[in-house]
Amino acid sequence: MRRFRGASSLPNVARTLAAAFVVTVAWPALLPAQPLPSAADLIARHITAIGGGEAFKSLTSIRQVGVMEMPSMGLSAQAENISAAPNKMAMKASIAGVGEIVSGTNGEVAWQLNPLQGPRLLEAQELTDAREAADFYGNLLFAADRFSKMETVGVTDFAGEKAYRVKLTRKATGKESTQYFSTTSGLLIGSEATQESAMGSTTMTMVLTDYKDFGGRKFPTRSEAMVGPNKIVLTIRDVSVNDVPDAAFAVPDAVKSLIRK
Amino acid sequence: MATFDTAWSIIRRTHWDTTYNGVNWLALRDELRPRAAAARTRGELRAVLSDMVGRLRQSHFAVIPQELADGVSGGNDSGEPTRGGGGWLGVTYRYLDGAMVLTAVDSGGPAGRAGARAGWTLEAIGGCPLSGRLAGLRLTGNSDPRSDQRQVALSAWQTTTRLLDAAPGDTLSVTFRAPDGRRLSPTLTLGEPPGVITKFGNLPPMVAHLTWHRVRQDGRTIGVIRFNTWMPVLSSLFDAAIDSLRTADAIVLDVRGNLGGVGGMSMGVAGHFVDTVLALGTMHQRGVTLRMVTNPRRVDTRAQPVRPFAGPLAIVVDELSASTTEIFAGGLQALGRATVFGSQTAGQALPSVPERLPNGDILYHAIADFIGASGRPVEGDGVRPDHVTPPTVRALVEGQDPALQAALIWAARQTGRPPVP
Repeated sequence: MRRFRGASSLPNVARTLAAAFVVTVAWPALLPAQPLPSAADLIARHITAIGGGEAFKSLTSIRQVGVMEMPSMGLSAQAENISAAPNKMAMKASIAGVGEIVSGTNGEVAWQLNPLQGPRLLEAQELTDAREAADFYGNLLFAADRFSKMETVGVTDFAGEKAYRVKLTRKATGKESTQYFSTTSGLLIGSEATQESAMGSTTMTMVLTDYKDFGGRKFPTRSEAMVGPNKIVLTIRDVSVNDVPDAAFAVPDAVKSLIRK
Repeated sequence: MATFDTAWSIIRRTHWDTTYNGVNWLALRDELRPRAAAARTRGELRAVLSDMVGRLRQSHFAVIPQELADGVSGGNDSGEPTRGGGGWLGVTYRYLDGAMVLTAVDSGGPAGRAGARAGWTLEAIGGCPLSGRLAGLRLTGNSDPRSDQRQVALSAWQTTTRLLDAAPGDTLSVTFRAPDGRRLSPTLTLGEPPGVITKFGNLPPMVAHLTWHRVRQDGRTIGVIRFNTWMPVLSSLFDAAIDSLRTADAIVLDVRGNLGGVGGMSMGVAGHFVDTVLALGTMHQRGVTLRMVTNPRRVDTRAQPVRPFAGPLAIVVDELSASTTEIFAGGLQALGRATVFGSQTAGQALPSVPERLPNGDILYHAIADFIGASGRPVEGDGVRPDHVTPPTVRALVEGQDPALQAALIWAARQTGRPPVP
């Protein structure tokens, strides 16, 4: 979420175009006619705004802890996200009355452990998505290397803020995504991405807010993910860096049994 | 007004059908808003909200009072989740031939110890005859007479359950009538119910229980698993039951009276019986279509590799099997993995969420249509058993359980295991 996770094209192109049209009509007085900044420039501006590339290059791991909520269900979970270079990531959410939901990747395999559904190995596009999301440096610092196409396509309203809209195309898979950068702060404030799962393909809109400083680096401490009418809110309480042991990404025993020898 | 406006807006935003099942949603707001504004008590507002959601004529739309959802009724001041009552009489009952009939009696329970038996009629509660209330139930729902009959059965069961609801330790006078006309009117002290009290999100606290045992039938060993709700707290118990029954020749799942629960659990439970990813059906939300897919369970509770159970599978249902139970049973039936016994299910299978309103009450509202693996909506139709085996008073009096017995006999006769999809 804090990096350029594989977001994607909008499901409802017409709605987006309509929004862009309104912006085009309404904004000349606010933004004099000028060429849009390039996607690379916007990404560089975002990196500067969150602390600079050198600050993030010095990281080997990140741990975020907080609370995940599903307001429409009245559910709340203690959540922990960890990630490490070069391509490891894991998430744990503990929900009262349900148990611990775990997902992760060690860069090779990716898994989910859910008390309701049992252990599962991710395959195909799900596995690809997990690996791309776990690209510790690449998505943020080496975007030009990860995306074959990065294009600023306009200015729009996003989550109540004026934002540059950037379309990205993954070099490896051709998958498209959309990112939104604040015209005022330069920060990445959201994304739209197609998420693949065994249940099907869904478009997720993510809104990132409340950037806070943790040791000289800024992280969004609130993210709202909308999948259709369903909302998931993640509030980060603390961020620590370079303290995640490699063992934290070990394949769980139940998942080991699923890996074909 | 914030509560009314919020409830109206939530449904306007999340109902999957932009025709709102034929209801002019904007006009309905204009009609009901003045009544909501005039409501002076929570009860009056709830009546308006109930009227609003009732106009949709679909299952899974209701207003759950805050005190029920939070489990703080019954004089509990501690803030700990409690049930509004939930005391145990040791009986199950169903609406049968116009009366409420005991379909099972635990001999060690309060009613059983007092002499009540299966097949007897529950005639009065607290000195008030039940017949008047049951006769007063009006047909609701759509025009399908089978659906209406199931609706009456469900309403009758709900009415009776409310009347019997009291806390463990409370006393209740109940009149039972035997088929030969004898009456029994004990004052019963309600016991602690079997199972665990669980609370999932904004849903009210409920008792969840799961049991399993082995039965010998025609020389074969059949595992029988019963559970009353799809609550996450039972997931690990179901996994343990399957581990315990892997060597059985067949398995019978008894989900009669299981009104549903967390839909996602059906995908994991179904995965114990199939070896590929298969769709139990499809949820159609506004802008999102998701398949409810099985997750083949190739690991046991000790993280050891196993194959999903491949033996014959029977599922026993009745008119109180609803929602997630229908998604599960109907899905495995349509996929050819399970044979279903009993009575046609409730036909109430709309995926839903319990959302908190500004006044603390819960708006329980459906957010998706559900199309079964057969390609037909489950709402309204339900699951039609392959073998219709409803209970009869005579069979109950004779100690029989026609649906379960038919399932056991069928399971024992499946000498060759069918290929598991």
